[in-house]
Amino acid sequence: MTQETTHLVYFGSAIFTLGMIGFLTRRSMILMFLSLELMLAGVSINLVAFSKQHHNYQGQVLAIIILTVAACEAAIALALIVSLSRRKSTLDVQAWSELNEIPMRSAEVPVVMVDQVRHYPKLTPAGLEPSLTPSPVELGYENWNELGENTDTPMEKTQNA
Amino acid sequence: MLEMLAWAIPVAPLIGCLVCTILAFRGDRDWAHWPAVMALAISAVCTLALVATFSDESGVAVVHGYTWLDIGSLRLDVSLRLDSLSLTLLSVVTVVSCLVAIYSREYMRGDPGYARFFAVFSGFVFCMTMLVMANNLLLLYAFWEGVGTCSYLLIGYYYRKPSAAKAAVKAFLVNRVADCGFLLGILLLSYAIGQTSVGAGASVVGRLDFATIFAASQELFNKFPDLVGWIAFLLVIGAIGKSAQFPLHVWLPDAMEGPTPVSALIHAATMVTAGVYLMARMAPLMVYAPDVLVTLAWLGAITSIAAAVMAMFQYDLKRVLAYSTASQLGYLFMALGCIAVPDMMTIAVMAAMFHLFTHAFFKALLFLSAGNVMHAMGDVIDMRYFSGLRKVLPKTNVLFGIGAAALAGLPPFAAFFSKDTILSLLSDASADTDYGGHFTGLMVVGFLTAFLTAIYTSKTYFHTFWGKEVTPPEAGDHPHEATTIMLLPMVILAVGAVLAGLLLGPTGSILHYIAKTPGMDALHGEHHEAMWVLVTSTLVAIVGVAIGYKLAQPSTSKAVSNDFVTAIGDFGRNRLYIDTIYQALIVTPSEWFAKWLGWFDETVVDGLTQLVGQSPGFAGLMLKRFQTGMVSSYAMVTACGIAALALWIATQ
Amino acid sequence: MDLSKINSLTQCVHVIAQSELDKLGVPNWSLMAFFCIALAGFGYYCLQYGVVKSNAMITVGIVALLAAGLLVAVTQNPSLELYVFYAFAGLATAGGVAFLTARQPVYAALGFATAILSGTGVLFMESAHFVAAATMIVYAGATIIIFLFVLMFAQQGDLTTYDVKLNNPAIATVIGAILLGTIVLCVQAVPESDAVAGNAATARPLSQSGEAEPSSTARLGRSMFTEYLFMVELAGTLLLVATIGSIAVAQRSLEAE
Repeated sequence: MTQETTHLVYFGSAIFTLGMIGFLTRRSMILMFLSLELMLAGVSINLVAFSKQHHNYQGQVLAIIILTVAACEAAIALALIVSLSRRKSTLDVQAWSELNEIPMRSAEVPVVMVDQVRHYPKLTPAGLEPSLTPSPVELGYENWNELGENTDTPMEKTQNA
Repeated sequence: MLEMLAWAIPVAPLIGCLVCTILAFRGDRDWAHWPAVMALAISAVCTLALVATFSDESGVAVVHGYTWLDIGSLRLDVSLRLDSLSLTLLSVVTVVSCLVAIYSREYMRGDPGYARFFAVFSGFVFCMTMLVMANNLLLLYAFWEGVGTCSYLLIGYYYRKPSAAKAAVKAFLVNRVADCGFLLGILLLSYAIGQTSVGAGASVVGRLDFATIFAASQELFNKFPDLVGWIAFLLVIGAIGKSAQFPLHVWLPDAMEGPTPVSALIHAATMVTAGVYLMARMAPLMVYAPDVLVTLAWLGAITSIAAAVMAMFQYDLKRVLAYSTASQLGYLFMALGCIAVPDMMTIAVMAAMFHLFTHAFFKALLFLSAGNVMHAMGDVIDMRYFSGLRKVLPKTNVLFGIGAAALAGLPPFAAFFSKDTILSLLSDASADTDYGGHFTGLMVVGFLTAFLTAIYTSKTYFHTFWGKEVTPPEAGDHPHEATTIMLLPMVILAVGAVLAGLLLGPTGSILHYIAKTPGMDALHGEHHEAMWVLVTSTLVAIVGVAIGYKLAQPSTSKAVSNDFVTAIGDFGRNRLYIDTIYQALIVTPSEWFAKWLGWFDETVVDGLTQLVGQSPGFAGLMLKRFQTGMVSSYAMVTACGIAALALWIATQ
Repeated sequence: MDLSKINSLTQCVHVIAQSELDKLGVPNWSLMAFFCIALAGFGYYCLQYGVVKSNAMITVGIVALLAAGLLVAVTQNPSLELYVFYAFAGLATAGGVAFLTARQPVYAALGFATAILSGTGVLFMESAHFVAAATMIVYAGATIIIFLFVLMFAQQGDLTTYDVKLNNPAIATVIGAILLGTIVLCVQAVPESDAVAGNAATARPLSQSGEAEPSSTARLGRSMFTEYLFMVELAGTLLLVATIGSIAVAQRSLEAE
């Protein structure tokens, strides 16, 4: 590798590392985003160095593509930042940690009491046309099986109610 | 014809067992006794026919059945061996079991496990007949375990009762100790016979055929005299476990938790005699280990006198009979000890088998009578709660009286002749130069035991059936006599108890019958019982009965009560503290060890499993800390990974 | 390595270190690890306590540049280009450090602009004129302006907690130092004459004297619109999508208000 390329690679790597440290340490979403841009810039410099080393334009083309992607990312990221900062009125990235693993004790599932008595629907005897009135369960009569046959029909009760 | 008859004996109970098992699974049927009773009747008839028709020049017939296993050099043939010895025991087993089964039909009526009872009962008879007829020691061992299993199942028949379950486990475990020795003996024997010229060509199992063992025993003794002693000792361990001899006698009294017919058949008449049968069967080998035989005789002597003492102080009617059984089995082993004396093998085996034969009848009779009493008294068996039952149970009174007289050794009942055969055998043996002193001592113990037997038997009988009539409240208003179906088998047994001794003993028929067994010595002239033995024995029995009668009176027992008698009574009632010693020395340490093992299992073994199971949880607890939900943390972890990866690549 | 061929600062350090450490028998990468840890300590100190103010940063940057130039002048007979290169590179690095250490977001943004602009200077020197121009326009122009706009929109007033209190500076600087050290180590391991020979035939030489087309930008454009046309189209589509996307995101948040 030639001396110029070597220097350029060192320089690009230094920029990249600085951007990475910034991304890791900064808590403000905007500055994290800027760190990301710095990392991309470091990569671009490296690509240019490789382009020089290999005597062709592949690296430079790729650098331009990265530039484009960086611009897209900037647009999306800033839109997101605006949206997020409106939600919580802060730029702190640590405010957004709803996806964390909460302590297990607080994650206990509450005990749900299941009703032991189950009411099975009565089927219409075969050969009879089923009535078109809504089923008693739909009308809210849980114990409708216990109703006598001669008592009020559920429909009437509903109307009375 | 011979083969058919021979195979019908074990197969009929097996079929009965299977049918009853199906009935037991289908729910209890009141007619579940039919398959069992029919099967046992067929078995008994076949046995009697075989006894009547069996005559072979060589005295033995081996009926080949089928090949059970044939793996390389290991070949196990299932074949039956018929000779005088096996037929004698076989007739006892099948006839008594058939009679007891008929009795059980009424005794067990209405029980929830009716079909189960008859299934296991038939299964037991199957195993026992196979044990007796087995032509191979290994096959004998297999059915030896089979009868142990059936015994376990029947002792624990009332498995909801904690004491019954415990007794079943106790019997099983004590028998395991003995069977362990027995199995070792078998293995050692197989190995040793392989070293002889006779057994060199035979397979590992084929060496254990009885014919091979008998043929090889002389050479075996010449080559390895010490080894024969060890083999004999291990076989003796097996025998004393199954026959409830000291120090492994502890399971027999507790085995009375089973139904009374089971006690009558298995724990008095048949299964417990398996040890005696084993010793008699192996007599041609045992004769080369006289020291072991004398030890066996002394173990029998200790058992017979200790059990007699214990029987003296028991309140439980069935337990009295159980200790009496252990005591009488001790007699049998004393007789078998005489094999050690030269030229007395045949007569010793004969004496043992004769007493076994008569004992089976009168002891089964006594147990069934006790069952009648128990039935009438509403399952109360403690003698302190009843007495004077001769009006309530007149027929049982007579039957029990016959059995008790036979047990006490009163002439002309059966045990008088068989017991005197043993005692005169011992007196003959005491003339031996090598072991004469031992046998003199054994004879004294025998007479002492006979005396004690007469005392406790008559005491029990007179207390139960004579004197003031007392019945426990459990018996209800009107205790009833047993039904005819129950009494009929008992009558047959009573006839046997009265006549068996008279017909077989003095006529010498059993002696000549047993002598036909191959492997036995030739008889040297006629055998005559010494007259002084007869007289002494009669006197001892009569005096014992008289003392027992006196002891049965409530006034007498109060009159003789002093510190010494009380101490002896406590000693006897607590079973000579042998169970206590076992509890302290074996059971409690075992429980500690088991508890420790349980702790080890729960903490270490289960702990390891739990650790494996919970390690993902622990890993999750640690990795959870990385799941902060914050972008910075995730980026940090990613950066760490990249740096580590880059470093790793750079160092390659 | 022949001493006469030493023509850069890093090679000088490398050779000195290697010649000394060869005697000691210490592996090369352990030296790099030492440098990394030293750099990490310095970075942590700066980030944690914020000692580097803007003025001090500029001073340090100038001093560092002068020192670097002096070192280069001592070790070889440098050309003017090399001086300029070191000047731009040093300034860019100093701008990055300022970006990292400044507490005020606005100062940090200025540091970022400095780094990017200096970086474009380096790119200009390396005959990547179009890339340099585009970077300057996109980053230093558009991004910074939008950034300042958002900053003023979202955050008025004084410093906030999340500006002052950094997130794990120690670990971050150590990781960064290790990464940088590793890269330097790897690049040094490549032989000096390791030009890619396979591409020599098809390669289009960059700005070399005597070429028919004087401008590298023209040849870049030709290359882009012939060889890499699809990629360019793709990038354009991406820009369009991103534009629509950003509008949609911002729009939705307005509706939520």
